[in-house]
Amino acid sequence: MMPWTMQFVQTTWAIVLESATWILISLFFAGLIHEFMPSSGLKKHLNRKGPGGMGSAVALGGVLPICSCGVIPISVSLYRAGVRIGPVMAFTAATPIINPAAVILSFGLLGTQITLAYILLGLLLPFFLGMMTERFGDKTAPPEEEAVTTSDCCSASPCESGVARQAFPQRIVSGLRWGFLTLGPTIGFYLAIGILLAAALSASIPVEWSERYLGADSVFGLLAAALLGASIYVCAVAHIPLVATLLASGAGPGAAIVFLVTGTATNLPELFALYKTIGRRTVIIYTSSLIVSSLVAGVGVNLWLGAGFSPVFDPLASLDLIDTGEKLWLSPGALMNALAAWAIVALATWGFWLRFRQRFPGRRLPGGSGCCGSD
Amino acid sequence: MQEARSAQAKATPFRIDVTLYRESLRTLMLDNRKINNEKDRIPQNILINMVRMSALLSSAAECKTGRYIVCPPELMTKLSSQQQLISKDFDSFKASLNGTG
Repeated sequence: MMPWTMQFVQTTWAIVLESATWILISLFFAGLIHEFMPSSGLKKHLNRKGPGGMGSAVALGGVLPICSCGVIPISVSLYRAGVRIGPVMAFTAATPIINPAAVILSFGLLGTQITLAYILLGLLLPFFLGMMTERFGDKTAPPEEEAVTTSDCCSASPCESGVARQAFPQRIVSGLRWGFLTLGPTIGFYLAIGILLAAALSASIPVEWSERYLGADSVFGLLAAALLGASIYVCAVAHIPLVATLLASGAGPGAAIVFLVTGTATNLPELFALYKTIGRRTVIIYTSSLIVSSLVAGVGVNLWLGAGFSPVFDPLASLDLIDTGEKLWLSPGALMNALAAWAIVALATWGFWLRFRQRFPGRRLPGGSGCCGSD
Repeated sequence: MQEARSAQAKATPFRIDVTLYRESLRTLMLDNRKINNEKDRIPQNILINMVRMSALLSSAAECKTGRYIVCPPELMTKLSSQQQLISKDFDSFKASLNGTG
């Protein structure tokens, strides 16, 4: 048995490696959103009242193959660019759940019925979560910028008032600077804390628990699946084989679907980062709605398929589907992941330093109080 | 499987082994279809469990930490229990073949 500390360190690094490239890609898009979204038609589209705006957010999330940690920078930048909280949270939930590679892999390993339930839930749940957070979430307007991130005052909003006058390439540079140098340290810092919490939890939960509690054919089993799924770091594509073996070892189809959906829709690092950047109330509503609605869906799936359900499929066709699913699974190379992981560590350390300096403002950085090199 | 559990498996050879396992499984399934006598065929449940094993090994191949494969404990447990399940299935299949043969 591996010592706890070793397990904790390995799990932490594994989560960072798995999510880092996507976080960087997401920061790239976040920068562009910050720069171009306020004046774009997409914002109006997402902000439409009624199901139209929410549907656009779900569709937008569906085309991005990003896991739940990676989606945070884009979500935060959408929110700060003035998109309503409902579509932002619908997008946050839809992006990791609706993934073509995961759907194909699910057909191959979990069978047609569970995959249909997964697709249906993947489309309806983000809609529902968007509506709940819109109705009951934080009502305050998004902050222009966080004070802590404005150490590089050139990237702070006051200096960007003349943004519309900039040329297109300059606007891209300006957006990317905001994404990587302003949002990056904040998100990196919060995600780092969330990842450490998730790794500590993963290392502390005995591995037998997942089989014992997820296999329990009761509402308690479904609740355990929902809580476990919502707290540990899960990427849909990598997790479907685990859910398939769980199902084969006797877990009910409801528990399998609950674990899959809550696991992919959210996790501790994501929740912690959202809690700190978007708002406490929104995150509480989002998480509780996710857990309750997935429980209801789990009970429904158990009633539909029966607790002892075991998927039946042609093994050869299944193998072909797994091949196709894995080809669609965009996996950055090992070197890319390692470089991205160190970049995220650097951003998190920088974020920590900015927090520390804000809390202990004894010294000022050289460079004076001028802004944007105006002095 | 043992390599994945050891946390000392080198990533590249491990990935090659996983691909080989999947292709051998595909060949096995195609050959199995050609067997005329139903009783001599490998049962569907064993093949399905082997497909699940193949998917688990692919997930394990993605768990790279530097040059090595380091799987999360949950995945290691699943790999282990899946291997036991396949061994048990094969034992009972062999017993049934011996019984009828």
